[in-house]
Amino acid sequence: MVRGNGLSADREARGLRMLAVIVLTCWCAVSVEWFARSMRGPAGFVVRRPPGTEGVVGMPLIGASEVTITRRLLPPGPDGDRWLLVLPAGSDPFVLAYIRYQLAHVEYPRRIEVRAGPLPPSLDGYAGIIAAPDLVLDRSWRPTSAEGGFVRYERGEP
Amino acid sequence: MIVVRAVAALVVLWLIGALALACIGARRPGGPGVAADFAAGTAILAFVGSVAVVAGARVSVLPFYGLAAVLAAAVWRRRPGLRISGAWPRDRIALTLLAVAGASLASLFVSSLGDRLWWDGWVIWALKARVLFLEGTLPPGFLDPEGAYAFAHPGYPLALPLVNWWLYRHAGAAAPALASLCGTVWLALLPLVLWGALRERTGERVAALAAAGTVTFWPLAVNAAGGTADVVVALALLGAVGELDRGLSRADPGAFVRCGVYLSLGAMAKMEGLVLALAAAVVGIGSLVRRGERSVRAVLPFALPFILVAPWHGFAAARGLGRQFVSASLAPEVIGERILLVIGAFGDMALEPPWLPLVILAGIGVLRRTSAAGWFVLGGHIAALAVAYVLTPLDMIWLIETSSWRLLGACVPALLYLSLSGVAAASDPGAATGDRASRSRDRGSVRQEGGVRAART
Repeated sequence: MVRGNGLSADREARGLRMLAVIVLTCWCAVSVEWFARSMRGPAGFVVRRPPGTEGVVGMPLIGASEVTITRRLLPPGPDGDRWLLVLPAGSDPFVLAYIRYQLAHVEYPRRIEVRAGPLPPSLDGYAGIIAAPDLVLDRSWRPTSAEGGFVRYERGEP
Repeated sequence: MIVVRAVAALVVLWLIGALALACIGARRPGGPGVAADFAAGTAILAFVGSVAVVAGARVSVLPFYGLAAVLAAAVWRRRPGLRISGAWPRDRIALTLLAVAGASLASLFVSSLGDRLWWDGWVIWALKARVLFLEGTLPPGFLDPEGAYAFAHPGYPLALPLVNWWLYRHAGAAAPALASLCGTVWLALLPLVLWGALRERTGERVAALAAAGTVTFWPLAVNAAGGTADVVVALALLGAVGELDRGLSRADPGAFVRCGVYLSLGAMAKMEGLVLALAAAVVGIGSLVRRGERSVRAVLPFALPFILVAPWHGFAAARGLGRQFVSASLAPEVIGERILLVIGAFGDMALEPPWLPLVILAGIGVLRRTSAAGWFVLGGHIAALAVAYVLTPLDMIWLIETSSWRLLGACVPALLYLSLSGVAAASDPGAATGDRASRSRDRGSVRQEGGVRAART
């Protein structure tokens, strides 16, 4: 009786081990396939960055072109300068957050505030503004350069 | 050249950990030993670096080189050496599976040179490393809880940013690709530990399957190269559970120390790591007390993570940097509704092809468990994650959708270890205790399993 129970328990243990190995093999196959499929994708083995999205950190690239344009428009200047980037009104808040975080990272320690239009009531404290083309600034700001539909404004008469 | 310098920096970090563990007689050879060394080196770096930031001082590499010299002198006097002995596979199929794991790791390693950092990787962890590199510390402007950088969660612990800073500092540039590269190194430690821990218990093929599956499991791989701290928590969880198991089976007196090192690594990497340390401390100390071991020396490893994170969390609390993870103002009916939603979300996930086999394996493992300690630690960790989801002040559905796959992915290596070692022990009862007779039996079964050809030496 005892011997019979022992054999049964042994058989059960071996059966479970066999089942575990089969399940593990299936899981490993699914993992390898998922890995291979993902590494063939656009963010796979070769991280493809389209032209005009250089200078951003990591992925995704949802607002990368705006980040790249902003960086190109920013003049070299003191680290303590505060800049304002004004994107078109109605811009996706998620893209706004992405651009703000990207610029905080890649331009550190320079501070660049990011918002969607319209312009804030007060522009005091900003060394310069980079704005979407539909935004009009008063005459105390002069356009100094433009790229990709964005214009850089600095203080001073035109 | 930058990559060569970064690799050299990682070797130095490993060396500091290896020397520290050798000094206290807690070093272990083989793959799991290398991972424990690296965990110890990172824990030392994180502790010293955090104290420097708390004190408002600049973090420098010099104290770490000084420490390495002192430790090397101490090790040289005691002459324990720094042996690394690898357990190479004798089975061809196991070797092939490990080659798949190695090739996958290599492809991810090369790919990470193109900067694979993902959202949290560059928003939280790599940004802090960049600030540390440029400023030498985290300045008050960065640590302002209402300031421009509040999005980077300035109160999070600093292990990962400091390791990335260590690489940046040695490479001479705050190159994001290095943070991505570092993630793949953390990922590479997982199969090392799994292979070393499972090989003697389950046979080479099963251990190699687990190692290959872990490396290629996309939620782990993409977040590792993405620069998030989840892969560090995965290593801490796997290492802590494995060493706890080893310590409780009385196979190795240094196991509890290494368990404490892994728990410290997790606690200094992410808040989930602190929860893991708490779960492991309750289970570990409870097991020791039941065995009649109540000495401070036995309990100290479980207190280590809390001692090491105390300066940083004290500083973060004083500065108001702490993040609210749970809301105390939820109505009971809302909590009930959320519990059902979390169960539903986890259930849906469990039925997906990459997760379903893991659920089955967990079921088999729990059924055939030889020790409940590891399962309690893993279960406690997962339960804490579920509670955090239920009580979150954020949008719960958004939080689950964006984080559950990587947080649960971090539990997979430990789950594999517990499940497979339990199944192996059930079919070979001596394997769980690690006694020599059972190991030789197991080695025999490895040879029989599929016509293994032993090395002709």
